Amino acid sequence: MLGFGGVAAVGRYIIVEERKWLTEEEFATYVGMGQILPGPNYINVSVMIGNKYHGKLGAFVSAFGIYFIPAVIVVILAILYNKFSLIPEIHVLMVGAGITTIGMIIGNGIKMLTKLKYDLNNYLVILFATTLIVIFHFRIAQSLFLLIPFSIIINKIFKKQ
Amino acid sequence: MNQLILSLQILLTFTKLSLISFGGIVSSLSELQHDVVNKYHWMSHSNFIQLYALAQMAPGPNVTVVTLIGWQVAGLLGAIAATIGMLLPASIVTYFVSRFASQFVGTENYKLLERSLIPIAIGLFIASGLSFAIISDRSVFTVIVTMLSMLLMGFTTINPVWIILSGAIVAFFANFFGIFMIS
Repeated sequence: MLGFGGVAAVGRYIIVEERKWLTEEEFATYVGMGQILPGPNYINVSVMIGNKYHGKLGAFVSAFGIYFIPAVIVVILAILYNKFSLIPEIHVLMVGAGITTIGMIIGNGIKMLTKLKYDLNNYLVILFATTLIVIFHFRIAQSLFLLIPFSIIINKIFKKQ
Repeated sequence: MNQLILSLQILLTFTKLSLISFGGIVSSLSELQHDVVNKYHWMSHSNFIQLYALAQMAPGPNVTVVTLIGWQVAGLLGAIAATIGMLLPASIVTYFVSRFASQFVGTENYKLLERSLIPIAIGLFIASGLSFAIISDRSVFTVIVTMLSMLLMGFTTINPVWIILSGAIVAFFANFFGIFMIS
C-alpha cells in the first residue's frame, strides 16, 4: 500500500495487475470518483479500496498508510531545508526550483486538458475559473458557488454527443 | 501554548482546504497561499513556493506539502494537525459517498457531474499557477523559466523531478553570471 505514492500508472499496476484488488473497470470508477470528491485524489481512492476490503477501519488505515512514508520524507527534507536554505547558493537553487514549479502547475492543467476530448464547454469553464481567481481574486469557495452551477448548466444544455 | 494555538489554526485551515479542493490539493493552492502568506503571515510567498517545490521533488502525492507547511509553522504538532486536517474530512466524505456509489455511478446525472467538475478542477489548477506567476515573476528571466517549465510539463512526459532540478540549476548559473538577481 505504501508504494503507490504519486504516479497514477504505478498505482494502477499494483492495484489492478499485481494485487488484483480491483478490476480495471472498478479502478477507473474509483479514480473518477476520487477526482470529483473533495480532497486528495489518491487518498480518496485508497479510502475506497480500504473500505471495500476492511470496512471503516480499513478505509482510514489505508488513507493514512499511503501517506505516512511520503510525509516522513518531506519532514526530513524540511529539516535539511531549514539547515541549508540560508546558504546563498542553496537559496538560489531553491528559488529557481520554486519558479519552475509554478510553470509546472500551469503545465499540469494543460496536460489534463489535452487528455479530455475537445469540447467548447471545458474551455468556457476553464476561462471562467481563471478569470474569477486571477483577475477578480475570488476565493476558492466563492468561485465554486459560481463555477459548479455554471458548469452543470452549460454541460446540461450543450450536451456532448 | 503558542504552538497549540498555531496547531489549531493549522487544523482549521487544512480542514477547510480538505473540503474545497476538488481534483486534488493543486486546485486550492491559491487558497492555501492566501491563508498561509496573507492571512496568518506564517511565511513569505517565496518561502511558500519553495516548500511546494520541495514537496514536488519528494516521492509520494504532492499533497504532502500540507505536512511540510505544518512542520515549518509549528513543528511535529503542526505537521500532525495539518495532516489530519487535510486527510480526515475528505476521507470521511469519500467513505460515506462511496458506500452509496453503486446507486449512482454510471447514471446520467453522475456523468453530468463528472463532466462538469473535471474542467473546474483544471481551471483552478491553471488559475493557481497563473496567480503565483503574477506574484513571483518579476523579471524577464523568471517569466521565461516559468513558461519553459509550463511547456515541458504540459507537452512532454519528462519526469517532473528533472524539470525542477534543471530549473534550479539554470537559476543558479543565471544568478552566477548576474542575469538573475534575488531581492
